[in-house]
Amino acid sequence: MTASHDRRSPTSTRSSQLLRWSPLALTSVAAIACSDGAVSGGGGVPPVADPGATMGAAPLASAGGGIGGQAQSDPFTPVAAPTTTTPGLPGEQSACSAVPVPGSPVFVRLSAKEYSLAAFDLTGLENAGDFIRRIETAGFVAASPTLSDKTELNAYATAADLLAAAALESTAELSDPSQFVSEAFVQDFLQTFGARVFRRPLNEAETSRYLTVYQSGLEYSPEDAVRWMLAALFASPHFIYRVERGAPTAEANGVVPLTSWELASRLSFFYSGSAPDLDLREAAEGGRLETTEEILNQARRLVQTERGRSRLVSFFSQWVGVEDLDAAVTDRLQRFDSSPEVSAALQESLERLVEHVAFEQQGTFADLLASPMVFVNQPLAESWGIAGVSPEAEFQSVEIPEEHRLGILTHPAALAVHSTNSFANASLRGAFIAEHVLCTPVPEPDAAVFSQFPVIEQRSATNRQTLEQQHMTPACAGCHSVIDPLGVAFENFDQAGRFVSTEQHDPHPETAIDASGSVSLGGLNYEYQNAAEFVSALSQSDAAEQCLSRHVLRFMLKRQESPQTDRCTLERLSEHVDLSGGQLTELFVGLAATDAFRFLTVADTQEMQP
Amino acid sequence: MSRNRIRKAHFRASSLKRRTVLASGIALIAAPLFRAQETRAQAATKPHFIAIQHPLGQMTEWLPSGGTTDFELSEQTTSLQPFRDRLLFVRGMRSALTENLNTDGAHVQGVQATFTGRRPTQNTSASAESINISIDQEIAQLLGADSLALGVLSGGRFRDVISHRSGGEPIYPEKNAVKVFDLLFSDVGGDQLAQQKLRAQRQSMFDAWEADLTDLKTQLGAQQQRHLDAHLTELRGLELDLAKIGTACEAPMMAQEQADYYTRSANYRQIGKQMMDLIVAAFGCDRAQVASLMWHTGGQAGITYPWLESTTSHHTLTHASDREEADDQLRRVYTWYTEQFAYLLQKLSESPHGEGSLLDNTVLFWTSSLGAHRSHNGRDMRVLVAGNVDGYFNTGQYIQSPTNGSLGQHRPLNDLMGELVRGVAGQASDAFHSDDMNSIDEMLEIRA
Repeated sequence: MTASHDRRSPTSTRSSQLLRWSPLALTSVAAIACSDGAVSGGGGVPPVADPGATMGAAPLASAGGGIGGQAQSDPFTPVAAPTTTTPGLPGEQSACSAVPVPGSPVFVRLSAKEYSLAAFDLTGLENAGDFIRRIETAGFVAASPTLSDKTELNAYATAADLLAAAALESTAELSDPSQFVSEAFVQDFLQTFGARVFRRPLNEAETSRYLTVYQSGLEYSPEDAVRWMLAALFASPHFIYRVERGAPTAEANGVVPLTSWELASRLSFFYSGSAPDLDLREAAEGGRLETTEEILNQARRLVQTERGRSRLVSFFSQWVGVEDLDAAVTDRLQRFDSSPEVSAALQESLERLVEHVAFEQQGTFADLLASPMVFVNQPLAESWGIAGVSPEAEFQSVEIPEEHRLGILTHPAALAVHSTNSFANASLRGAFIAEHVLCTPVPEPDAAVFSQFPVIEQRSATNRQTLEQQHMTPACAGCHSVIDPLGVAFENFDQAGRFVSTEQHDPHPETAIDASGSVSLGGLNYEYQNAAEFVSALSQSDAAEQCLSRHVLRFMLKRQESPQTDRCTLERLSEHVDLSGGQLTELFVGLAATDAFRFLTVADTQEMQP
Repeated sequence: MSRNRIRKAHFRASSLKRRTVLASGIALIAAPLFRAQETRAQAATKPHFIAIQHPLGQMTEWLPSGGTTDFELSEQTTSLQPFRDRLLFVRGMRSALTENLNTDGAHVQGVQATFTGRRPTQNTSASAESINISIDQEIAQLLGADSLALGVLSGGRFRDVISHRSGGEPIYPEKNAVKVFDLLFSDVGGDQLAQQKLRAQRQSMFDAWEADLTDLKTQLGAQQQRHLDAHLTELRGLELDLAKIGTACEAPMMAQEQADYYTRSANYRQIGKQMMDLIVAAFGCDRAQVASLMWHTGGQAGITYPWLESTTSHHTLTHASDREEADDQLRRVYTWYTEQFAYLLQKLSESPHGEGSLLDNTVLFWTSSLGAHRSHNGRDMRVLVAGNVDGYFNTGQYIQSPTNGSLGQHRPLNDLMGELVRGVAGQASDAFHSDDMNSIDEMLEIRA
């Protein structure tokens, strides 16, 4: 890293802020990389979670560089380097544009939400998938591809019974039970309805298989027979899993295209979080999912539907951490205010911001990071001291009244979630920025670190100094010298995300808070005085946007991205987003324009990656 | 249950013991943990096992005071007084989290390290490959018995899981008690005709299910087949259950709550009680012999106990700099968890089984992913074993392993777990043992 990269920095000594903070901190940044093993104090734990399968093994602080610096060990550097200023791996850089780069097939179990929406479309029954256990995969809520146990499988059977009964009542084609004695009628119905349940036409063997179920039920009554058949369909693995095999007859050079039904499913689960709607089904049947343009048009249509919007909003909620697996998040949001209306409104306020920027404003990620707006209803407005919002009014957007607050990362919900219950935690906030905004993995502290955990007898004048006292010890500094400076940018916000200008801790509660610092992003150094300046810097950096693309991939594919097989896909996505003006919706949609969206490697369909 | 196998295991162990004692001269550090049994009750009894995890270790003052057999319960454990003679307190062992005194694993792996006896080599990624089978699943497998994996407010992360199948695949715990009830007791009641119809309907559904799965398997790669194999295994389990429809069974009285009830920490107490009731009822109805119960992992996101007037998260309390105030709250917390354990013992003791009670035929293995409540590592583990499976274990003891000094004095928890497997399942376990001959010797020393 050379000074020539510092063109956006007003001073040539970018380290002056850190120096002022602590000479030791500066030394640590330069000398110890969080992920190079120095952290564990000789422990045997690999400091990077899973070097083989995860990407982004970039050291937090590479030698001579700050966060997101040159990171030569990061296999994604070429992706994250839009200009020639960063030396990368030139041989690999050109590989992506030369040939189509197919993807790997998806094998997932529908999540609780996906199952519920698909079931609702077929039967009108709501929340039918609530029994599916929610787990975290690559940072997002999903269902484990492997069924957990017999309890869960039995719950599928029970749910299938309920769905069958609901379908029997709500399906127009089944309104005349006198027809149920006719096997020809039932077979016709099975072929149309079954194709919706399976998201593709049934083959002959399947048709006869489900007719057999119908026949067994005839021993009791024709209505039972149809109900049994419906229940068996809803229990089928073809409904509860999403499986892709491609169209083997169209194989060429080891690559197969997805079938049109598989494409319809991908489009619909990626962009609306559920099974294909009528329009998609007709497109699949009529061969209108052939060209990139046709596929992109569907993606753009879907992302604007109500479900599409809520899926994009849910992505950002999960990325920020306000929609989570743990009840603790809800608890935490509730703890800060005695009014349940306020806590209930917090998450919605953040989600309204996302929806506004993405859909009303057709904005970019930078717009979201640096939005001057906040959405409030009356209880929130009152709690934040914003006048003029009537109790009857819906959520409305107002200008953020505080000068240090800007965009989604300083939204009170986001700040409250990355705090402990009793105090604002700069380390937690810094780790969040490192991992979620800059894609720099922060390993969990191991017990060797805890065994050297320094107990602070006497707090320093500021929280920042206390942190330094605690974390600039050899065992801790490897990570904390990097994450803490990112977190202290938010020091002006307490554990509830409320603005504070002076220290909250004894012994010097009146000391003014210092939230200044500097950060190196993609080879450029930025200095900031407060959180607003810090998030502006993030919003101008390509590093944050590249990192977001990776999260989109994780969200859509329900797995960690792979440095080998996903690099080109991410590069294509990045090109697409650039060409379309950086809109958030295009960040989603752009995935549909990649080769990996439409083609599979044959080898992968035989030996699926875990 | 084969008595011969148990006898055989004892003979083998005894001869090994004599040999190694002579060789190493290690002193006895505790009275016999295991009493040789000539016979087991002949009534139709079955052994049962429950593994329980609560968050964030135990305080040292939770432990009893006094000697091996004349110990006195601490203030935090007075609720266990009626069961004193059925308890085996153990302190000072090290879990797999701590392989030696210089290295401890990242403590977030504590649950897996403790209950699978092996420290995962990977930190956060959801890879099953480095995980061993868990003790509850090992026992269920050896017994060929059904098991339950239940959670109160556990997370949905790979590392939050007690139960792992052979091969490491996690069994994410069921947190919705109604779904457990559905599995176990939905067929209870109803007339014979209705039961017959239910059986026929399920059989037809399962047949189609199985055919679809088999079709799918032939079309997919090995990795995907693995997912479907788990599905097929559970499906065969459900098919076997069809035979149980209509067998005598007393379903527990249980409020049928909505799904979101089971995601709220405000209902922690009630959910915990429902889960314990379900375990006892499932054992009583012979619908399961093994269960695991995950209260909470205790991670950063935290659990709080407002009903104990403790509003700081448990995790934060264990890191608090004001230790006095924190310990005050923590005393109430650990006392409360102990009371829940006592409740479970009480329920088991009130449930008839064979000629005695379920408690007579159950072993409970209760511990946490961590040792001492503030240390966040796997040293000095505090374990409470309850129940002697019809006299197999010599309970009413407090075993204290040295908690400082060289590695050789820290017995691996694995060896205790291996003995629990042997006691409950009647056969030695390949999955739970240490490779440390010194520690194996010591473990044998505390057997009769």
